[in-house]
Amino acid sequence: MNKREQMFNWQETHARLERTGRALQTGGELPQEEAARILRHRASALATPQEGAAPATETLPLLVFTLSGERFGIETARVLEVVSLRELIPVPYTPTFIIGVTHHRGRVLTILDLQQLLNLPGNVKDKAENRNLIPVEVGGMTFGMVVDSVVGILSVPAHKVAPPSAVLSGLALAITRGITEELITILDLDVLARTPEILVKDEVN
Amino acid sequence: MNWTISRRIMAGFGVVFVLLLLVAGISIYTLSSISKTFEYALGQQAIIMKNQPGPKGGVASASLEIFRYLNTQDRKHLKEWDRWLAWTRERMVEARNTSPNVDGRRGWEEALLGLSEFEEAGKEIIAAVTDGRMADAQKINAEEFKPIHERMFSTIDQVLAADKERVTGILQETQAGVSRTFLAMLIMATIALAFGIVTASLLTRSVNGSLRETISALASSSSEIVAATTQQAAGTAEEATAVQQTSTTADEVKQTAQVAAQKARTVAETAQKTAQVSQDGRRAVEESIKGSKEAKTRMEALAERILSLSEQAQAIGEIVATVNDLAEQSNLLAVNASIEAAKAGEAGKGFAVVATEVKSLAEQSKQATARVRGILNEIHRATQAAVMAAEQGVKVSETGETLAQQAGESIRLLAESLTESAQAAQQILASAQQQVVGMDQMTLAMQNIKQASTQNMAATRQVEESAHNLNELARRLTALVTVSGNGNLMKSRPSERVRMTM
Repeated sequence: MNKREQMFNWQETHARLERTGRALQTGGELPQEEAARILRHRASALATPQEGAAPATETLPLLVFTLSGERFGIETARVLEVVSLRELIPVPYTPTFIIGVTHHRGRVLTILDLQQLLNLPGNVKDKAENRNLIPVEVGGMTFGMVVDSVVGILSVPAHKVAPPSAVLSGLALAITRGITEELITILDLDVLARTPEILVKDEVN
Repeated sequence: MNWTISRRIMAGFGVVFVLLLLVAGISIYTLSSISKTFEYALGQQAIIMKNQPGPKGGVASASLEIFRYLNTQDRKHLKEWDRWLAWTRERMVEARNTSPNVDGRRGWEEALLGLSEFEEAGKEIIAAVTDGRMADAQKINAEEFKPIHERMFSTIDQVLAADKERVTGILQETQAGVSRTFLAMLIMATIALAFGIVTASLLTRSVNGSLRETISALASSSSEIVAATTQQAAGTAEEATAVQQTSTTADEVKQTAQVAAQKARTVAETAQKTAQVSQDGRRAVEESIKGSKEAKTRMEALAERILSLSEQAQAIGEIVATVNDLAEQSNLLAVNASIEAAKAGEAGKGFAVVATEVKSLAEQSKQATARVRGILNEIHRATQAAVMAAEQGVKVSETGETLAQQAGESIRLLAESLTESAQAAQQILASAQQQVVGMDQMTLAMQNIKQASTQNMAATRQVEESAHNLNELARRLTALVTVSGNGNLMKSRPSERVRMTM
């Protein structure tokens, strides 16, 4: 590398550093016009009436989450909220489908292992802490489910739900209400709640 | 003459024999001729004796003179008487002296005695006649003189006859002797011949025998000498060549030595110049090392700065993590808001929109933080690379420093070795000069050797000649003692071994 090349590099380097410095100085605050535009857009969005409001067809509001690489959906009516699992307390002498308990809204919340129940691969229970936890209230019981991630809320037209596939059996078949276009398996929590295996007797043997 | 020894000896003996024969022949011939001559001479003498008066005639003449005196009393007859007496005496003495043997001489002695008697008788007669006693004279004549005269005749006849017999006997003896001699000669000749042959062959054998040994020894010695001289000649030739080469080499070496001396001088000069250069080199090396150290320090400072930059980036990262966490929380919040909105139904639709917006913001935030994290990762990687580059830079400068030190060391060693080589060049110069001197001496010595070699060569040539002569001699001797086939001589080369076929 000859001297001329070297000198050229340094000059350019200094120039670039100068530009970066300036950018850093000015960046961070949106310019006025930009901010105004965004606000306008939002307002219009809000103002827009709900045209194309729900046709007569029924829609299912689903909370979609992923577990073992598959997407599942559950009725938002049953969902309390979505939180991060802060503290998992394993409890001995509990069935295998129970990972443990945690505090939630001042109460003790039992956490179910959906993977176990549905015979899904994966080990979500092994690193359950800081994962998303979905507490649901169904059939008078409140329990939580640990999932890989929460996708969001999705309204699915009811007629677009396909029946579950024949390969499922047992509890999986019972729970599965159907599959959507987006290959979201809709779980029926009511069925899950009524399943005798999961009912925990009050007595302790 | 190319005859063999045997032949020569034979020839010699033959000559001797021939001479012997010749001698024998001559002697025989001479003997026979002598005997013939003797015979003839005797014959002649007999004839002469017959013809000549002889003693008998003398006696008769003397008697006759006595008669004549007796008859004539002429004194001249007395003279004649004396004369004839003397003559007869002479003749008888002569005959006696020339008589071949004792008997003959005695015969003549007797005859002489008789003659003395005769003389006496004659003298008596003369005396008587002189005295005039003729009758006495006649008486003496008749009684003494005539018988004596007769006796004389018979004695002389006897003696003569005896002589003749003797002579014949001698003749016969002579002849017999001649024949004997002839026979003896013949026998001797034969013996001589046989003896000669035997002796010749023995001689030849013995001579040849010793000659053979000598010749073979001679031939082998001369062959060895020839071989040795040939070798020596070759060796001398080689020596001459070697001397020549050595002289040439000496000259070359001398030249080389001179060139070496020149080069040595050049080296000494160069060493001086190079010492100066090495000084400069050392200085340059020191500066280079200093620069290297500075560069290292700067690199390390740079690495420090980069490291602090990296740590600040890490701080940024933490902040970004916090932001991400916030975004995550916001997301959850948005989801929960959507859930509540869904629970609220119609009333919650507006809320749902807000919730959706919040969710999207949270998403954007997350995306932004993701990008920031990506950039931070890149910064981290770049920092790592930069630090590594700085480290390498340090290493490089360290290497450079080491190299510079090594270069410095090398330069120092170089300077040292140059000094040494300058000294060595000095020594080379000295030894080159010595070499020149030595080469001159060697050239002289070579000259001497050359001379000696030339002399040696001459001597060798002489020896070679002598050897060749010896060989020639051997060959000739061989020829002398060698006969092959039908008497043809075998000529052999001087260098071959001599074969004796005798």
